[in-house]
Amino acid sequence: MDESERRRWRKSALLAGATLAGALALALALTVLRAPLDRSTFLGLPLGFALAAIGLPLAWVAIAFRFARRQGEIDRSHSHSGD
Amino acid sequence: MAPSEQGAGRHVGRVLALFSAAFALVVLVVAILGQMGLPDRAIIALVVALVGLALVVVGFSGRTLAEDEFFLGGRAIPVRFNGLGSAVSSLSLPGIAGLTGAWYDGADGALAATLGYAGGFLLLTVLVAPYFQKSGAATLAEFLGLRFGGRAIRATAAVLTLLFALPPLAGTMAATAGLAAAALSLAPATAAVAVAAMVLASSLFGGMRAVVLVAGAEAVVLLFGLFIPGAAISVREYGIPLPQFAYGYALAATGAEASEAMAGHLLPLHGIGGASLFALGATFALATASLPSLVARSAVTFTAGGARLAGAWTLAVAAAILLTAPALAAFARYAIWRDLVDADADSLPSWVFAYGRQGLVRICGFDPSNIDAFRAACAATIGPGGALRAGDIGLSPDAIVPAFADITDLPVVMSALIAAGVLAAGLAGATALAFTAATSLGHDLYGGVLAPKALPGRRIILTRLALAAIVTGAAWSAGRFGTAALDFGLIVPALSASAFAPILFLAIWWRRLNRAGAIAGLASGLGITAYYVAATMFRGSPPAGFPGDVSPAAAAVYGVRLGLLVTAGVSLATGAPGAAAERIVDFLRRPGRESRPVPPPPAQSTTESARHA
Repeated sequence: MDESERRRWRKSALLAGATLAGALALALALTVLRAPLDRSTFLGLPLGFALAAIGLPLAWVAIAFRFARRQGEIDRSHSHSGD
Repeated sequence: MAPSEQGAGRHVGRVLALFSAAFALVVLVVAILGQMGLPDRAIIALVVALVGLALVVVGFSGRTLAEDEFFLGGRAIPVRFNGLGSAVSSLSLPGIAGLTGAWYDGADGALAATLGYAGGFLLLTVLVAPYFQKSGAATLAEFLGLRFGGRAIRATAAVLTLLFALPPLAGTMAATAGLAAAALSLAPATAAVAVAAMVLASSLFGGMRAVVLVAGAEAVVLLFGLFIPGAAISVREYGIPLPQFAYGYALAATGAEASEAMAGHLLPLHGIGGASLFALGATFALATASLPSLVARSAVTFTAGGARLAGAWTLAVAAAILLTAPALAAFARYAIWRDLVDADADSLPSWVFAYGRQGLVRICGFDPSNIDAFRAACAATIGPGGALRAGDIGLSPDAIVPAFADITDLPVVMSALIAAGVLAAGLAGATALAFTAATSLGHDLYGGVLAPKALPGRRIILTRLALAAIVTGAAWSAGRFGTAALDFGLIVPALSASAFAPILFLAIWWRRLNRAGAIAGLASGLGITAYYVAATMFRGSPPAGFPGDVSPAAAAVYGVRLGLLVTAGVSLATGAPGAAAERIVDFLRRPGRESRPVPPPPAQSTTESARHA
């Protein structure tokens, strides 16, 4: 593995780590904040529940697509046409 | 995007658009025929039979004799299409009808399972899919064999894949046959044969190519079957076309009194709570990310980047389904509360009796089709002619989706849409499991371990024979034991995740991992979870020495933790992998197209090499 490859892999690993850490942080934050959030309602549901049951999966979808786009940019910037 | 990818994408897109339009037209024509007097049962049977016929045609159109197409779909499946099929196949009946039932049942585990499934698809996208695609492997066992060299780990993984696929396959086929029998008025044995024939038609002639093509079509049928009835209720009751954002109003309008609890088989989460919830979500996530039938779908795209994008599309489609499940459950609960609670026990709607005959509804503790018994029971509890209370009404969670149109008083064509959709989901799941089990035998154990130099044609023939035998056996099991195999449905993900997740993730992300560590990690992770599950199930309480008190369904938290530790510890203690293994890791991590290097020889680590020298 040459230096360019090593740099690309470091960026890829950082991106994967940041992506999963962000997704997990969202889930943990909602777990912690659910009780106080549930005092309000949103779309007829307790807010904390609505954010966990509807918002979190949708946020993860956005995170997955952002990750795929960003990783594609990293690969292209290091001259791989794998995407 | 490469030109060939664009061409294939356009072709598959056209086929999918044509299938969707034809399906919509059939539903429209049948609805008009219904208005002209076609009987209700004929409407449902016509839609289901036509969908079944169309799926057979799609499956047959994917026939191939080429090994690359049979095991890898020709690596020419567009990413969105792959995402559609992968989501529906991996969620299958438990993740769709079972999850809706769990929401109806009010199980705390429903949210944990929802987030577990979604998190699993995200993990797959980030940690596994592109690297698996790059490997060129057709199965998880082949991937592990490539990464670690030698035949032992490939054989072990293939046997475990087979064992983990068989119980859910038998259970899914039994549940699908039950739905087909109800929709088409067939005898159970005939329905089991029909389902087996459908599974074989979707896989036998075209292998992975046909499996993926049919799964895409099945996904379209399922999405029609879930979204249109859900949207119809949402618009009718709340003026909001998206049921996922309207069900809160249904929940708010429903009385809080609990109905009689009935056991569900598709996703039996009842009673799982407390400390088990986080563990359940983690188990579902790890099991989904390392599910052999799902991981293998990563291989069918053009490029590693395409596999990553297909993973994101899988998550998107799955999220749409997962978000619809609580909506359907809430609408059904509201309709039952509105129509049955406080109703006269002598004037119940006809669907109560129809589903009561199938054992899916109980009124005052009795099957309502047994009129004398249930009336006597109701007279004893609420008085003659008295009003039913919520606690007098029991509905199996498994019935919520199939009975949704009846419960919510939608036109019968909606029942037909739902019946076709849930059958499609069951068939998609069963086909994926059957093909995964067959490739374990034909591609891995025969073609990879026993006869690596066998001609490609022979590997395909062996896989086809295995497929026919496995599906026939599963159909026999469905006829003989019914859905009993689904009782193991929640344990299999825990065992599978414990065996595969640690070594699959580390095989890609930790280059220091060697074969000894992988074998030790697999054995210890699976062993500890199997011990915990067996001890808890047979003794009735968890064994001593385990932190927490989690359900066996969530026991992967023990296996995966130990598996990671043992994998790392043994790898560090037994020397670095050799140069061949390093080349494989570098190859997996480079996204461009290139030839696959030779797998490491049996004596892999430098320590081992030195010892041999």
